[in-house]
Order: sequence, then C-alpha cells, then structure tokens
Amino acid sequence: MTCDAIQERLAAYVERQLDPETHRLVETHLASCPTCRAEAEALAGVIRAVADLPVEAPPPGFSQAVMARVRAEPRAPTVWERLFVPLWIKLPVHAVAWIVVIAAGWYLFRATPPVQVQVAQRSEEVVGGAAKGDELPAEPHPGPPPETAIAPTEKLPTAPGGLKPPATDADVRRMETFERQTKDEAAPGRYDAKKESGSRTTPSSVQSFSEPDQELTVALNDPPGDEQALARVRAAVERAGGSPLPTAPNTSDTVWLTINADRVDVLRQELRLLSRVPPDQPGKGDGPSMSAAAPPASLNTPLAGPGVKTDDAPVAKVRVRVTIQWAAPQQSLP
Amino acid sequence: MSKPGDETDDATWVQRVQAGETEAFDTLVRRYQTPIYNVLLRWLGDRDEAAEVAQDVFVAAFRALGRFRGEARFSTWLYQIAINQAKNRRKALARAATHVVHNSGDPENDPLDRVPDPRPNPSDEIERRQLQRVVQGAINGLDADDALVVILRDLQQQSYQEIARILAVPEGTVKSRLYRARQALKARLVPWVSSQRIRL
Repeated sequence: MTCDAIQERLAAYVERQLDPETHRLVETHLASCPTCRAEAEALAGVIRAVADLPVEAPPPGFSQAVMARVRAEPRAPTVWERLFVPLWIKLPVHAVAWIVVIAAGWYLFRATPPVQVQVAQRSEEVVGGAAKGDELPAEPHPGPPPETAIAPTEKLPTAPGGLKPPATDADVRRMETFERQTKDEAAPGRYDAKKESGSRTTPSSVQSFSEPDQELTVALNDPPGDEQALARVRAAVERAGGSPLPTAPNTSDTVWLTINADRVDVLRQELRLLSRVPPDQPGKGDGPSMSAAAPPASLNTPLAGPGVKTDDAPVAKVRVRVTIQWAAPQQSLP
Repeated sequence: MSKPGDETDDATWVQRVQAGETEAFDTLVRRYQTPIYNVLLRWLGDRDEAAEVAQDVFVAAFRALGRFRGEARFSTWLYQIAINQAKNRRKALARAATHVVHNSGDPENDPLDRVPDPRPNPSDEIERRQLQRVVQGAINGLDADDALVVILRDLQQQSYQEIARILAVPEGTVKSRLYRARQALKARLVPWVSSQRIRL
C-alpha cells in the first residue's frame, strides 16, 4: 500500500473500524513508515483530546426548571376544540361550508337529466333531425319495412293470431317512447298527412291506442276470426311497408300497425285487393272501406301539397288501425 | 446517551405525554438532559448559554410532541431541536458580539476551568485543564458544521449513520466534515501532540 492509501485509512485504523486484513496491512506499513506513523499518532491524539473533554452535568435543578416551564404550557387543544372553538368563528365557517357543499350537490343533481328522458330525447332528436332535412335511407319499392331507429317495437315478433301477449313494463315504456316519436308537431319539413274523404288523419298527439292516426277498414270474404285471413291482412301490411304492433290491443277484428305516412296509399291498395267487394261494383268499397268515423276537422292535412317536399323531406310514421269486416256467416238452407 | 435498547422505552414515554400525561415528560428530560447539555456546552462554549438553550430545547420538544409521529428516533428528533436552537443562539450571540473566547489561556476568566478533576496529581491536573482549554478553544475556532460533527463523533461517540440522520446529510458529508475538523484540530494541537502530552 502507498502512503496516500494508508493515510486515507488512518481515521478508520485509529477508530478500529477496518477489517482485520486491512488493519494488519496498515499496521505493517506504519511500522516501517515514520511519516505515516506520525500522522496516525497525531490523529489519535486529536481524537483522544476531544474524547477526554469532561462530560458535565447540567446545573442543579435543571430538570425541575424544565418541568416548571412545561407545566405552565397551555394544554394542547382537543379535536373538539380545534374544530369548534371559538364557536362564534368556527360555527359560521362550518355552516357556510356545509351550505356550499349541499348547494353544489343539488345543482349537479338538477343539472343532470334522468336516463330515460335522455334516451327519449335522443330518439326525438333522430326524428327531429330527420325532420330538419336529413335524408332518410331510400326505401325499396316494394320492400320490407325500412330499418329505422325509432320503432324498436317493429322488431318484436308477431304473436300467432295477431294477438299480443300481455304488455310488460318494458313494452309500455317502448310504446310511450314510440308515441312521443310519432307526435305530429308540425315542425318544418315534417310530413303532414292529407285528410281524404272517409279517412281520418290524426296528429300523433295520442297517448294511448284509442286514437290511431289513420283508420282503414277491409271487408273480407272469410268467416270471423279466420286465421288465414288475418295472416293475409298482416302480409298485406308488410308488403305495404308497415309493421304490425303486437303490443297494441289487437283483436280478431283489428290490426294495429305503423307505416310511413307516404305508404298509406300503398296499404290501401293492398287491402283493397283483399276486399270482398268485387271490382265491378264501384262505389261500394272500391278499395278498402274507409272508417265510418268522420275525421275531426282539425285533422285535415294535405297528403302532399305544394311546398311540401316528399322526396327529400323526412317522412313521419303514422299509426294505423285496420278494422276487418268479416263476411256474415252463411245461413243453412232449410 | 440513550442506548439502542432505550428506543422502545422512549416511544412509550412519548406516547404517555401525547396522551396528556405531562409528568411523564420528566423521565425524558432526565434521560437526555446531560447529552443535550454537553453538546450545547461544547458547541456554544459557555455554560450559562448552554443551560438556557438546553431548557429551551426541552420546552420546544414538549410543545412539538403532539406532531411527533415516531418516524425517527426520539433522540434523533431531540438532537435536531437542540441544533436548531443552538444555531439561533449562535446567530444572536454573533450579532451581540458577546461570544466568550475560551482560548485566551486565562484561567481566571475561563468558564470551563471549574471542572473537578478526579486525578490526584496536581501538576497533571493543571496540565489537563490547560489542555481542555486548548481543545475547547480549537473547537470554538472550527467551522460550526465541522465542530458539530467532531463533538457528536469524538465526544459523544455517535455513529456516522446517526450523525447523518441528526444533521440530515449523507454519511459521506459527515466523514468529510470530520476529516476537515480533525485536520484543523491537529494543526492547533500539534504542540501538545508533538510533546507527547497526548498519549495514544
């Protein structure tokens, strides 16, 4: 080891903190190097001189004096005191803080609409957006009912016989949503159905199935409740682009459906083909018999008129009730 | 000096004081009054100042005990308070220019001269006291941070790790300061060392 290396280790050597091997090496070097040995002795002398300074006791009564001052110290405040003392300051502060928290929470609660309303609003926006000039998907002619986002009830399977199972809460909610969607708000660009003689066109402000937008009647040659006849009526509805409403109060004499307003005529044509009135008897139900109920005067609206675009304008869906007039049962000959 | 085994015992007394048992603080005072007083004595170089500051240290510790979470040893925390209090006092003394110089060699005015000596030989006693004055004077002449390290290490035998904790510096810094302090002391004490009055 060199002298520099030895002197770097002298403090540890004097304090006996070296490992045995290094300690022996340093000791061996010191035995033969007067310079390093003198340095080691000086260092040891300094350490010993400081270590030999006497440890003095504090003055008499020191601890008593300390405790006297400690006892005079004010007691540390309790949690209650830290929170509420002084009352005249901290109570108003706490009250204001609580008011702010409650007000903020109430404001956030009020500002956030319920989920169901949000869904309905989004659906209405789809219809309303369409009413504002958005182009609807082109309909095939003829073809299956167009896929729309606003009539989830159209996807429901039709129960045999046209009768729907008992409505569930989900069905009711869907129907209420659908009813709001088909509401005729007379918005710009929204299709307004024309009132025709014998037909009734109603704005969709209904909240139940008692008031269809359109009422059609078809006279059939079949006996009442004939399943095949009902199936033909439903098929005619689908050919016209309508969608039966299984959640509606369908009976053996009525079929509820939704259809684009501009397809009502097509539906009429289809039903006319099913009518028992032969085509050579004009005036008597040339085509499906129209409902006997006179449409309210307030519901007279043009099917299509000047200024109303039927090509690009969004088409509203209407709810139609088809009433079936069954053939009278044949009386047996005596 | 508190021993490692006392750390748990310190924590027990600390908790009792924190729980509101003021008198329990007396145990901690009696346990640490001597080492704290001596650090202050050697660093400030004056008994009256050291006693006054030591009282302030314990009162300050009592006031702050509610915030002591036990993350460090109580002794480490107490030493830190002592050093902070002493630094403030050194600044005040420096401004007042009333710091007593103990390397004047005048036994009549040396506050550290009144140390009882158990050794029987009067000449050795005189020589020993003289050496103590010289050593204290040499310590007084050191840089404050270097002096503190040599007091904690060579006088109170604190470990490098504990000194690093007290001063909140790395161990390497502690060793550097200690080397510097010892070299400075050696320069002051060479006459005493070379005359072999200091035995290895």
